[in-house]
Amino acid sequence: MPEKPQARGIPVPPGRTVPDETQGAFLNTQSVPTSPEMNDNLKDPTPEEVKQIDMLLGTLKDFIWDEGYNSIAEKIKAREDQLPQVIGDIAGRMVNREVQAADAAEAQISRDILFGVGAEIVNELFEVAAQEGIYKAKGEKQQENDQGEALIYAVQKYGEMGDPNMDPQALMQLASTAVKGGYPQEEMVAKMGVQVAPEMEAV
Amino acid sequence: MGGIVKSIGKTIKKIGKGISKFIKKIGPALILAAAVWAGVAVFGAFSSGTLASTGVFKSIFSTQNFGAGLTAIGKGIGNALMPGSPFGSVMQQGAQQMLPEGAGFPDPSQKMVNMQRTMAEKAGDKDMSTSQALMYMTKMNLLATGFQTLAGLLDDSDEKAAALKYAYGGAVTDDAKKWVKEHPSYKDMYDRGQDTLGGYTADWYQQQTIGEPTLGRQSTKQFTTKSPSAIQSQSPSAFQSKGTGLITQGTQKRFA
Repeated sequence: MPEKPQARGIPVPPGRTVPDETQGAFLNTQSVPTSPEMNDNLKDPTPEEVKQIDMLLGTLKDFIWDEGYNSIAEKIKAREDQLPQVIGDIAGRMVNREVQAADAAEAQISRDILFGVGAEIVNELFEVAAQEGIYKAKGEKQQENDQGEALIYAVQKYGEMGDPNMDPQALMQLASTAVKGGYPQEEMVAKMGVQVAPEMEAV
Repeated sequence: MGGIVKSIGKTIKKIGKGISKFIKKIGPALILAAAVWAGVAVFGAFSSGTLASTGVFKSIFSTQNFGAGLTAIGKGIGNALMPGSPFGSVMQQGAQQMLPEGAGFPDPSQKMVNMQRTMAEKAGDKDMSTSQALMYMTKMNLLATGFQTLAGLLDDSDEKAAALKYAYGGAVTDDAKKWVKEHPSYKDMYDRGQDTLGGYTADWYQQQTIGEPTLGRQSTKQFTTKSPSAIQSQSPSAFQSKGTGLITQGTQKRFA
């Protein structure tokens, strides 16, 4: 006689609750996740933050390509053997000053968007270096590496200048979330103020 | 003449905002690497006491703080990551993955970043930058394990869930007492709860769960139905009487 197959329970979708039948668990009326549920620490940029990104980037890009152009080009030329560092320093300083100025004008800037803004400014400054013939594009990978390096220098410079309104705990949480890797990278950076508009193709 | 040239130059610069770009934008992984740098450095500033003692955020993202952060993550938070502990073993494995064959287990610190670069160079990738090294490090056990522990320490959701279970006038069980002892900040709340609810025992709560409004979130095991034999032996009901009923008695009389 064929053995009757064992009945299987209905699979419980992740995040659903299951009855907690362990002894003494009767007081725990909270949901018991069946799998580790992702705590959504990442928040989409608010409409206000999107405005702030536009405002910051608009102001800084105008400065880079207008009245600041000559002095930026000179500084880059003076330390062209340390290009990522000099560009990072300039970017970190520019973003910090702009943020402090906005704070002083009681138009406080969200700190959640600054990595995205910093990355964009680093890219613009490398563009200046390329326009001036100082930076010769050596392939996409090299460009990426140099910008990544510059962004870390920018972060250091920003910290060196100080920001009393920074939230250190939020930074640790962000780093923790990044390392845990529970989110697609594109989604994470979009929430860090990186504009995901289609970029121009490299020539 | 100079003025005109300058003006043209300015126009070209303004056009610069709209011209085709030479430089491809930075990828998400490297932006996240920068965020990781910042987070590790902040942690380093906390763990080395710089931030706590000065309360100043100046130079918080410095290489020194970053190194201190890596060391703290590696060496352990309250010794949780020390070699020999469960986390420490994983950390050690992670660190050894990064080391050239035969090398010992060094302090995970800024040296690690440099070592990653050296290894990459040996593997023929001489262009690896610190940010790239950092990016690779995030994929390894070293940072991931340390940060998961860190995230666990920062994340108090488990504690809150336990507080719901134990601290808000929970049953006086050994578990509850132990938990409150380990979390003294909830002691007042626990004591208040006991005052309000009288510190009832687990049995009392067991009885109260039957028929309580649950909003659909209560355990399905609410009702405990006693076995039929128990009902029979205890019930005083007339229906369970051993004696004969009136109808039976009447019938018996009629046919007697």
